[in-house]
Amino acid sequence: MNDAPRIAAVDLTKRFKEKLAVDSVSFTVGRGEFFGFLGPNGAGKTTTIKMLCGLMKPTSGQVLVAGRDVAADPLGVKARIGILPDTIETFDRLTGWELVVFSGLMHGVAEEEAERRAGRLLDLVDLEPADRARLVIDYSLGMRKKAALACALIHGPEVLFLDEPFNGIDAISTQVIQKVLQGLTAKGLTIFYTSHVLEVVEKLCTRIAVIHEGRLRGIGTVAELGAQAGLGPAAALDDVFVTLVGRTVSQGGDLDWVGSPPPSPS
Amino acid sequence: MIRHLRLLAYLRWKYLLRAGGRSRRIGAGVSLVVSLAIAAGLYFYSSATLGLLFEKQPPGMSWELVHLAFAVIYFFWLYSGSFNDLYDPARLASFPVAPRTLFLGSTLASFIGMASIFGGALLAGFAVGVPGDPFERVVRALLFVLLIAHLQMTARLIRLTFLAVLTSRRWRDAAVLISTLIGGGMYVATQLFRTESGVEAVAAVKRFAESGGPSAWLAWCPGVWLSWAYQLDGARSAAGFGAFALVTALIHRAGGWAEERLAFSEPIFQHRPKRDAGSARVPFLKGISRAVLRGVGPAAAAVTRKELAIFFRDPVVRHRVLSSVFYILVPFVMLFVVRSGGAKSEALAVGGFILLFVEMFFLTNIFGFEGAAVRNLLWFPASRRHLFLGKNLAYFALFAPFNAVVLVVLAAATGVPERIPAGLASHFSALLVVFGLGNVTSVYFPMPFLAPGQRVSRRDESGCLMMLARSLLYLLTFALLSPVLAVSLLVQGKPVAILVAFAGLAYAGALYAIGLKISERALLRREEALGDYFRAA
Repeated sequence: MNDAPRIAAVDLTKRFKEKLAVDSVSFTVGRGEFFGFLGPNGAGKTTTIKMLCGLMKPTSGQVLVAGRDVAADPLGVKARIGILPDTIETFDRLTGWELVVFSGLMHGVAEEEAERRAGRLLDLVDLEPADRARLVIDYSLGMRKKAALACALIHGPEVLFLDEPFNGIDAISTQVIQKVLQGLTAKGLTIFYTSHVLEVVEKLCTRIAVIHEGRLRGIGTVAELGAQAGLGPAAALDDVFVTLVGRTVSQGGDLDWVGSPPPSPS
Repeated sequence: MIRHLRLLAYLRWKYLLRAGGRSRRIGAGVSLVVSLAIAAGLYFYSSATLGLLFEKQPPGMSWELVHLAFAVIYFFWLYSGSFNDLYDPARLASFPVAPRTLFLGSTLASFIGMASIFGGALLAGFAVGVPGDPFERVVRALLFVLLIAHLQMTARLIRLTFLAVLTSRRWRDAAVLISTLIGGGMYVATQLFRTESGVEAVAAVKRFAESGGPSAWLAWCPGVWLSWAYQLDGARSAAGFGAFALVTALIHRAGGWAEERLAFSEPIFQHRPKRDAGSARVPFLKGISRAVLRGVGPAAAAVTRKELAIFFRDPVVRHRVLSSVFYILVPFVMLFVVRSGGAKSEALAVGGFILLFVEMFFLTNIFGFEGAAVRNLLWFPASRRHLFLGKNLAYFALFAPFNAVVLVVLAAATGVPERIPAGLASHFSALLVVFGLGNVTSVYFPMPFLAPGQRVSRRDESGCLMMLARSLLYLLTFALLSPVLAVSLLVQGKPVAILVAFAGLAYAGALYAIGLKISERALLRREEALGDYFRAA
């Protein structure tokens, strides 16, 4: 049971009219893995994540999350996963505390237990007691992310989907949360993580998949990806990524006006 | 399911308490008192009207009018019912809530708020006004509650069905215009009802009810099915209730299906974006900005071009412009309504005043368009004088030709074409003064531009002071204009009028230059405050 993959995508495909957003993507993610999912803008990352979370139906293919078929039992899957989206649209007229407790209650956690867990989680993400009593509408981006992360964890999910979770969070809190997340994977939590910050992906993730133009371009450890890209196992992730998606990086040499004196303002 | 329904109601309750923020509890209290007063009015009006109706008219006709009222309530409720963003499927999609529970929960939660206040008042009015024993009144009250639930469900189903279209930018822009036109149309309709044609309309409604029209012609409307049930008179009532209950159950089922589709990011009707029609106007914008470029340089030209582009694309501006049309029509209406020739000749002065009044909205708040983006504008190293000049030139390019045409047409229509040169010169003098003082007002007393239905989100209490200060500045504008206007009136129709008018132009030009200087210096001092204001607004 424990060895069964927590996420299994089989020939996952999504077509929007003429555009093939995700094309026959297959992969599995095991229990306790910190799995990175990378791709340039428009590569099909968000569409894939939405299908994995039961927020979008695939055109074809199958997804199993926490042992359940997402298409057949979307509510069962939602009860077992936590989601921290990139853009947080939430109930911003609740206080941070109320929001986290509300999230626990919606997932079926008993009220007293939800309050106990909310306190613990908000301590963990370093949201001060005074801030917990403020309305979420008055939060900074980083505080919203912290509250949303607490919401995603309060019901004890088996799989956690994180989309740019550290965007807007200060360096110290980032370090703390990273350590907590790594600790949770040791306890069996599976984390599906997307970010454009390759250094953090390289630091945290045990395995990484790279998607581009809807197709999976590589999957494995950084060393395995390096080999798949033909750069060798010692290659840095950013070089591997650029090679796998088939891009070249311009040096900006054609911007001939940069470096010359600016025009005098009128 | 009960747990989720309770939590959805909790959300609604919290939002109702915190509408507008915690520091607006007094405002929320005032709005509650006003709502209760309106609800009391609705109760007394409906109960008294129904009581009188059943007392003075035969029961058949009275019931026909009740059927008509139910049809009107049905459609008015669906028209005015707003979508509750709180229960936007996208926000709740990550929770393990069954779609039908969400649909039912949003319906039940809508009873916490205005629906229960106004609907409850109508309910009580209909229960008391229509004769019957206590048992019948209780049954009718329950039927009315069912009607409100049905209407809330139907309104949500319609919104869910067209959600992707309704939340598109193109539709939001169009909605602003449509609501303005409907608002204006309703105003015209209420004016008509005060006249003889209104009396005729009431008589027509009576004839329609007497002939059994509502039952015959509105038999397809679910609201009328329920009013048959409300009549409590045997087979037709039972059939009406049965049909209404069946449709309500179908709507609930369809609502669950719609919620499920949207939870999977599958809109029922997809919005298809089209190419931006705004690009077609680029040659016009380029033409104006080229002329400005030659006169005052690239920064002012860029500002002019930006202002003109926004003016043609911003839905709030379209709303204001459309609303203003009703004011600008006043002097033309005067020509037909006012019978005395003397008063008719004043249409030119009234027209000029109304044009200034309408355009003041834009000219005294020139950073309102930018809103929070004013910081971006102020980051540029352009001279502040050129920012003002760019904006002023854009508005001059828009308003001056329009005003000139309106005034010339008015002068010609009122038979005073000889007043055109002096009238135009006086008007443009006034416009220049408004430009100059408008720049100062814009720096010291900014205001956010709001779309209809949008509320200011800032939390401090300086709004009233700001409005007072703005009003004083308006008075100052008129005080500064008064010499021009007074002399113009004194010499009206005399040969010297044209000379006086051009002297007035020079006076206004000097005032504009002084205003520009003051606002330029003020902006340099108040840039940070201005940015903070719009960020908080």
